[in-house]
Amino acid sequence: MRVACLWFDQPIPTNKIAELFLRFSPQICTRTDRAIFVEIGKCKSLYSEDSFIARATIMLRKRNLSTKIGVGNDLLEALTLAIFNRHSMADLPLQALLELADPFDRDLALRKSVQNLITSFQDLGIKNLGQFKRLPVQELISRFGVIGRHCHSRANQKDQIVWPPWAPEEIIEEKKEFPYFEFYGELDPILFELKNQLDTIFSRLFARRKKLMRLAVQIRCEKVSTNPDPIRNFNFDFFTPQSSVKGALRIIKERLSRDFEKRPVLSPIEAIQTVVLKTIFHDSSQKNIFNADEERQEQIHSIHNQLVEMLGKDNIFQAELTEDRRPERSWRKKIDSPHESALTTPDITEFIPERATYLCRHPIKIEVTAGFIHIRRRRYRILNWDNNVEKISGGWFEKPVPETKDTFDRNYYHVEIEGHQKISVFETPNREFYLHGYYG
Amino acid sequence: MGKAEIVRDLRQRTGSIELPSKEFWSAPNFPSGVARGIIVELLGNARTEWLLKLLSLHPAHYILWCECESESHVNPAAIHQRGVRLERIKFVNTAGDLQQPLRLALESQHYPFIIAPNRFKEIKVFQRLHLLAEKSKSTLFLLGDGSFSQAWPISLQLEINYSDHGFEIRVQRQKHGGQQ
Repeated sequence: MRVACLWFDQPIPTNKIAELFLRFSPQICTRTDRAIFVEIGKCKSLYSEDSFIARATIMLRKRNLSTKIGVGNDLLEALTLAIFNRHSMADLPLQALLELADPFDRDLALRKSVQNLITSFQDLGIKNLGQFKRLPVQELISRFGVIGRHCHSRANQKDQIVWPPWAPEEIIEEKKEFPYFEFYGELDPILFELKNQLDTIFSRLFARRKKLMRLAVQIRCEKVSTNPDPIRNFNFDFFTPQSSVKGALRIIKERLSRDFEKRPVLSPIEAIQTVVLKTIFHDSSQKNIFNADEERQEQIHSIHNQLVEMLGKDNIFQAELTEDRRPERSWRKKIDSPHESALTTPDITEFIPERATYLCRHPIKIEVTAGFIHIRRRRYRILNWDNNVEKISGGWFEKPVPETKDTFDRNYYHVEIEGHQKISVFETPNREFYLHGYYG
Repeated sequence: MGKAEIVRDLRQRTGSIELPSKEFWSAPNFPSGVARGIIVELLGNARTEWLLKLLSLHPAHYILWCECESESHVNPAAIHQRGVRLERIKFVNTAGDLQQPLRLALESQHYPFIIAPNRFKEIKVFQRLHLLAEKSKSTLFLLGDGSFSQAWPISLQLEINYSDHGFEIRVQRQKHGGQQ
């Protein structure tokens, strides 16, 4: 067994930080607020101890955390080497007995007794663990009883330490409070803080092999009478699973900037909280270095998400063909999957004449006189009136009310007017003409 | 013969051919091609037909097609009939400013073809779009109405009309020369 211990001089939320190390090993335990233990021996063919130390240092430096890392054959050795920054157990000061006797800092009475033992031995001139280990065990028992026996077996690594159970937190949540009301109203400081929070969230998700689907952001402002909305909640239901800060932050920025424009923040911000509401599993196997299609698709989905945030769901779409002959209904919007081919695309190319490249949103009534077409009171000379007629009729099933007539009955013509502009017009049974589209 | 061909011909004669620094899209009825990473303005009654032919020549690339709220809209069925697969195209409808979606698409570098109506007046907007297009090597096609824009960041301005033998292309401006 090889164990790495990360010792933090300042108290930190070890339960959250420990999640980042799930990418190295599933066997993890923590000492509340001070240390994280990771079993790295079983994965030695995946990474070396040196590379583990280098990667862990970088990961923690990104989060502005400094740590001392010790690697040993068991949890006790790793812990003491990390705390006292030594290379072998024999060099450890006698104070290390305190950590060896109670590695998880749970038993105050035990610590007090061990401290007495340490003071006594220091008075006797024993300064390090190497000297302590050479003492005969029977003498320790006769003077210090069970504490002496316990310390001796721990110093000689005869006890097997049981790893306390550790599981990642059920809810992934990040929160920052601002006690001194440093800002309000500006978006940039909020985004800056959100980026930090998202960094941690995505690292935690990555370690769990998850991708983000739904996120809630809460911005809590100071309660003042001038601010009617002191608590602002934003729910982000991502169109596609998110795995990077960059894409998610852009979407959040879009929403927040729009909201801040509509409802400006009128009191100082007290706290920002981010909670993950929904995730999905993703396969975090090794990246395919020969094919970047997956990453590309994810980036495209991210752009799609941002455009949806910016312009609304109905305004970003792919088109999908239908079997309807009416030009305005020959396609429909497909809003859920960017650049995915339809499962069954009716190939209408062979059955219908070439359609106009542009369609009028509503057909425009026109008048046709000898040699001329009048569109919105402007007269255009007809250069060519194609006599090939496309007849489209039907639709009775769409309005099954007896008094309603058939919904459409049209004769389509291709007409070329002055300036070689080609247009598509249709004629109704009562001899009315409508402009429905144009070419080019 | 377009301006680019004339210039190339003159350079060939004087023995001073400059290697093109740009990559080019091959384009129908336009041998000098359309450079990547530029802004192109298209006018004329056959501009969309020509553009669809160009897009069908390069079937592997994604397209972003922006439209503003107006009386008419592009007909996807017609696009399909001209040989452009609809799954390549992301349509964007906007009632407001087109700049943001265009900038987003250009920055992403995933859309080599971006099509939008030319609703811009300020030179700064064109400059910004030009820089982004150059960086992403995307070609931004602006469909103009009436007359050509005077904005200098537009590198290629073409007026494309129907004629008896297909397209009639008039080159108003062509900054980047043509492909060899």
